[in-house]
Amino acid sequence: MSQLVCHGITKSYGDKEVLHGIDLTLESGKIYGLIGRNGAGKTTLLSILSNQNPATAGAVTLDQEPVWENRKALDRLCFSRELNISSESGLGNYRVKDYLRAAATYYTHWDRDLEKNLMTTFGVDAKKRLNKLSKGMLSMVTIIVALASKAEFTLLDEPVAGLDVVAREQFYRLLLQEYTQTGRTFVISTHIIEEAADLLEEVIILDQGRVIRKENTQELVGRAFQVTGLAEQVEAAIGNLETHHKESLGRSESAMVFLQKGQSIPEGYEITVQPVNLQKVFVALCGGETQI
Amino acid sequence: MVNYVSNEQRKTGEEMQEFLTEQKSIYLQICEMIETDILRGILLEEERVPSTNELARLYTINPATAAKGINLLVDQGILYKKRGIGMFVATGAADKIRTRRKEVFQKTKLFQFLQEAKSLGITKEELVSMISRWEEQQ
Amino acid sequence: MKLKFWFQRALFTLFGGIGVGLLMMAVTVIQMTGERMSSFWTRMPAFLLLGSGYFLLIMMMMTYKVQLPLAVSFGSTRKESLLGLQLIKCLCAIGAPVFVLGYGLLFPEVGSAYFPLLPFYGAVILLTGTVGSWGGMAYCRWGKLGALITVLVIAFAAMGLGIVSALVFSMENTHAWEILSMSRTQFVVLGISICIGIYLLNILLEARVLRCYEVRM
Repeated sequence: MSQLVCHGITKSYGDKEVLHGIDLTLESGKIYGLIGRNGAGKTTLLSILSNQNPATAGAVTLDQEPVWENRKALDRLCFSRELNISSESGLGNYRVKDYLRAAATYYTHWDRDLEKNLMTTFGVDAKKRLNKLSKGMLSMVTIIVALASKAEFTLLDEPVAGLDVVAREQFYRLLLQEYTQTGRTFVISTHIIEEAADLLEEVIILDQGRVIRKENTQELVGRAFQVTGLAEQVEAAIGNLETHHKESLGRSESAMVFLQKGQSIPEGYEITVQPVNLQKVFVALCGGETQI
Repeated sequence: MVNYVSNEQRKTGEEMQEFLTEQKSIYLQICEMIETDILRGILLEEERVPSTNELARLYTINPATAAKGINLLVDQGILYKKRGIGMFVATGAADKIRTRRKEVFQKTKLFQFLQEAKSLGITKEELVSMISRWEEQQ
Repeated sequence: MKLKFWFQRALFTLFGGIGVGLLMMAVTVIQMTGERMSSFWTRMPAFLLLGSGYFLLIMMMMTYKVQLPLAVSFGSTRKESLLGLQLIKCLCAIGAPVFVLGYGLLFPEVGSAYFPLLPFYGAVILLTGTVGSWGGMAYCRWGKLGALITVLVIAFAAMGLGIVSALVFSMENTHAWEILSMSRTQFVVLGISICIGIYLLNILLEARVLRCYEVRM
């Protein structure tokens, strides 16, 4: 099994450190979700993983070999960046087909048929210039590059940004189709957490430049519970448990607890225990505490 | 008392749902859907069930999650694996499912139902007459 | 080594430059009257060289802004990109004079006059590409305004140099190499050496800029 590993990755821009010593192991054959708030460092991390940005400290390795400036490792990687075409950006003058041709010269296993199929599926006009495309269309172009690259490790930054719900569904299906056929590894960053939650075998939660969780999605969600009730009762019940995101309203209080293996919420309290979804888990972990 | 609005709705024997909803472990939902298909005769005994990859694509879920659901049914003897071919519905699977669901109904659903009746002050006689009236309407 | 992308870019820059030369020529032709047309064919190589140099300058700046981030984001190593940038400059510096050579061989009566100075023209194109790189690097480092200032500074410096040398060389109707007390050949070789020297030093500078290059798109 192949592994793409971050060893103590730190990244600073000037005095500002945006990634703080990230250790992360990505195993081949999985779909990972990378979630985090705006500015958490997702794009920076993905850029460093793929040799697009240098790390200030630390290293990325693919099967024990450094990725940095390594042609052999780069042949197995693809990070399809989110395209932000501003009016002055020269890239805007590229036609879609020229952009894809340029991509094809670099990705060794580029699948031309898949590229054509995807162009038809999404209805992207190959002759259009990038600066004439909507945000959604640009996302489609980045998706096409990612899928057609056939790279063993494929990183996608916000692939569904700007896509309508139908196109998002299309993307999830295409991703699963590609994944079940080839077993490629995907790392996908997204803000539309609930839609993607069921696709993700593992979820990596990045908060303020640190990986605060990396766990099987089902297991993480399975051990998180929302506990609500009279404040004293809730406090007494969850006293010894890992608790996040307490909220109180009048006499009632609600909190999210994470049960460790073998732990359970003690019996004998007047409380309601509810299962939660990944989005709630994420908000609880990254949202801080709020008083209503 | 601790009031569990449980993730494991299989225990409560709730109404089967044909589509995947939130708030419930996805692999349990996969289990339920396959079970319901067996009960309804959509999947017959000794017939191949969709592979994990097929299920994954159909419901847009991770294949590993689909596999977890399938494995749960294998553990319960509802499905069995034929090497190199796939998963099949075991003989007697429908009976097994029905028996277990009845048990679940009695243990949890009925219990909750009676608890609710008790808290509303509904007597046994009232309950019985309610049931008879419901039967007449059917 | 994956240089296909850069090779395509280099070919585009070379033929684009030739195209610009032809375009400049076409514009001049329209303005010309009958008797001056005869000098036109003699001037054609000059247009090709001028067009190539001009286009290369613009393209080098563009390349830093557009193609460099693109290539690195598609998985090009910085080393490959550095090589690619040299490929563009060198192909133009060799390609454009080769075109003029071909023209001169086809029409010796109007083209052969350029032959002795072809290596010098090549070196000047190389220098133009280098100046374009400076603009591009300035863009990477200081953004659009930085690139603009750099190019303006270089343009004014070049203009100043041109005016000064024109003033100096126009004195007493002598030739530049005579002022520097050299033979004409020595003067040309000196010019070529300076151009290539600056180009080579610039590779070191480009390598430095690219070493920690970050993709921002």
